[in-house]
Amino acid sequence: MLAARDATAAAGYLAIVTPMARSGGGYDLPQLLIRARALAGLPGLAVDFEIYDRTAPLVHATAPPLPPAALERLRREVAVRWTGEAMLVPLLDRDGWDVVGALAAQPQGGAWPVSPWSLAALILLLVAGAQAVRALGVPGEPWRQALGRYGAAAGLFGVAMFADVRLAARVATNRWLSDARLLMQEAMARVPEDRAAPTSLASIARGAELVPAESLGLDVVRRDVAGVVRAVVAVRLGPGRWVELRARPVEAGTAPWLAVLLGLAALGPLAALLAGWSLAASPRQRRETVAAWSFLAPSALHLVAFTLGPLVFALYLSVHHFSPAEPARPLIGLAGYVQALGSPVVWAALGRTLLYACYVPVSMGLALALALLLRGPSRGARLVRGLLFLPAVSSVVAVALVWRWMYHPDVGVINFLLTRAGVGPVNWLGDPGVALIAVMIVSVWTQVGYQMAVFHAGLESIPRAYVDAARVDGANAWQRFRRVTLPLLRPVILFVLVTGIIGACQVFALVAVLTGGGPAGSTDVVVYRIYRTAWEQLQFGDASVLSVLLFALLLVVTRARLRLLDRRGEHA
Amino acid sequence: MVGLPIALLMLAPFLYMVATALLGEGDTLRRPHPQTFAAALAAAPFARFFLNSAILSVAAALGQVVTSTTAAYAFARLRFPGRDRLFVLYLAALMIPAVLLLVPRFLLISALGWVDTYQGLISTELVSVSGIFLLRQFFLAIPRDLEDAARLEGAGEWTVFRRVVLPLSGPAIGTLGVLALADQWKSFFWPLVATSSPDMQVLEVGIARLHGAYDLNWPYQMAAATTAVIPMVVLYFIAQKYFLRGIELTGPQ
Repeated sequence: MLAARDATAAAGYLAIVTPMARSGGGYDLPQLLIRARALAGLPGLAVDFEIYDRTAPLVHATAPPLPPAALERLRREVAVRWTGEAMLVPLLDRDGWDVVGALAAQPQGGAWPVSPWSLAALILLLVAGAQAVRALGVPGEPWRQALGRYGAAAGLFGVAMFADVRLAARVATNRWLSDARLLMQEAMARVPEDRAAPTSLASIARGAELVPAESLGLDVVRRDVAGVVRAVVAVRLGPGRWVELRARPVEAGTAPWLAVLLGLAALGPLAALLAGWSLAASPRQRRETVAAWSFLAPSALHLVAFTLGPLVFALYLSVHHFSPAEPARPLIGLAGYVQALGSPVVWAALGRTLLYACYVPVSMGLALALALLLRGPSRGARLVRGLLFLPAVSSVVAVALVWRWMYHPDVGVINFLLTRAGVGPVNWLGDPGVALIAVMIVSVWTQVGYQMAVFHAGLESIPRAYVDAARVDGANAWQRFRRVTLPLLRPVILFVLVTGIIGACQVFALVAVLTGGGPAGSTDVVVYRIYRTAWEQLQFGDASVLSVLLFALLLVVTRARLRLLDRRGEHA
Repeated sequence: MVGLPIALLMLAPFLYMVATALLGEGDTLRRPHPQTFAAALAAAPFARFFLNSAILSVAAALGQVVTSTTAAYAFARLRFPGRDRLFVLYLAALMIPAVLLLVPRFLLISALGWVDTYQGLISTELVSVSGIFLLRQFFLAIPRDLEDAARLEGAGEWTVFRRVVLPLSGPAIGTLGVLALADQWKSFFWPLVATSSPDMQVLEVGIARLHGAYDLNWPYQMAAATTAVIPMVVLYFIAQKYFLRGIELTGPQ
């Protein structure tokens, strides 16, 4: 990586400093020879160079020539290639048309820079691993403890290795940038001013930006440039002329390595865990566990890939400023949450959502009444119960379209009937004060049949003997309902209420088609707002913040249900 | 019989929908002219929408049946370390609001290059935790004797599952399949996000878009809505008992 970048830089440098051959085609050979030797002897470069004119080595005259096939391949592909020992970069002529030679770059002392920390972690890992393996055969359960230590050591080792990778990436970035600076300054010193305009220097540091700047220290520094961290070094082009070389630091892309290294480090402890467990378990247990995991594999893998992973990623998005339209995705921490919680629009949407969810108790009351009214095994009751269920199974978008048509302020059937009945027409979906109620009415209509079916199943499961006993005791119908049926139906009611509210908090399709959040934002519920934030404003980060807040709200609702169920348990 | 007026009131929107689609708008009753219907269906690639919806629903339902039966069997019948904790983890997935997963899932399928393809549309829908829950409830209610008899004869878990448990689970699998079909046919949010070209849109998204294009042509819209509702009504009348059993199995008990 470093070698490739440095070789590319050197090729760019040679192209600038070496005069063209007078007879066209390629560089002036003696000049190229001088430049090449000078380049290789330049103090402070991080790589060793060999430069080839066609196939002939220039720096070390005794070195083997470049195989013609390799040069042919460079000509065809004009791309950087790793030969096994060195990075081979095509040397283009100044116009960039033809490959006239090649540069081979070998990193100096390119050994893995293992830090003492990693070494210490490795020793720890080996000791803990040996202990764990020794403990495996021993009866009793000492291997569990040893395994804990082994796992901790593996984790430590993974983190230490990651720190090394990061450091190596950082060092490579720094060396490349300082080499590029060196070459640029050399180029400026060697060639006349007119050829070495900053724009032509850019070919030395491909992938980096050149920006005119003030003088800066000698070191490569990390600096925040427009929300993105960049590695920056100042290059002195002449007295008082400075440019800044900015590049994306390589270590910025190393985060996936952490996962990879931790995963690799965890393989050892996992294998030991499996071994320890299968030594301790009976053959039958072993067989059942293997079978169970093979049965679970499809759903478990899917849940990890499409639910757990996305959940973690959503949390990641929520602490970043993330938009598919912008390349910069800086970490903003909890600023997104602070902004969302301080925004009146968000609170209004949350409040509106809870207000909308109030349709649930209303439709539950209706559903319970219908369930009581339509009890019994007669064909008619069964048929009506079945028909009432229809809105719940039919397409939501279709339902929304039908109601839009019925709500039509001028030619809609509802206003037609209202006018007939002497009540003035209502602008159902156009009046900000009414639109949410209109949406709630549709929701009642779609949900009441389902809720009634659940209540019906609950009523059926109440033993007749209880009600009959109350009847014998002389309770009238209302008392029987109030004292016997209702308490026994309590868990069902709670279930319908909580699932209903959770569903209501996530309403989207109905709002999207009926009102589109309008009029004047009066039906802008949370999920619709999230949709708009993500897919219209393309603010994935902000949308994730709102989604996480919604998740928290739903967790509160679910907990409330559990607590209510617990309290019932105490009474019973 | 008090039920009939209530049922009529509840069904009125459907009747009104079909009437508008067939008769056209206006308050004077006209003779049915199905050409409105035909014209509405020609206004958008409805056959394609229909096909996409069917592919999504059937594939997702099949996938959910496969993943749910196997997982539910493991949870209901097999003993392995950490089983109950794992099951709680599975159930926890039910509490995540769908909208939270929408953006990351979209980024995932776009990283895979699956936006606007069937695999992108379907892949996220192949597992249903509530389906696993439903089947686990059902498996727990099956007596163990038959399985144990098969095990005594030396059958492996896979054989027990295929030869003994699956043949007994027809009703539960039917319930899950029907609920999954209905659920996917109604799904709107994910297909809206995961597809972009008309060739890939499902019926729900298609008719929602049509509504934007023919805002004032109510007979067209009602005809489109009718085509979206009819398959579900048919499915419901064929498989009514499965819907009701679904309520019993996933309900509060």
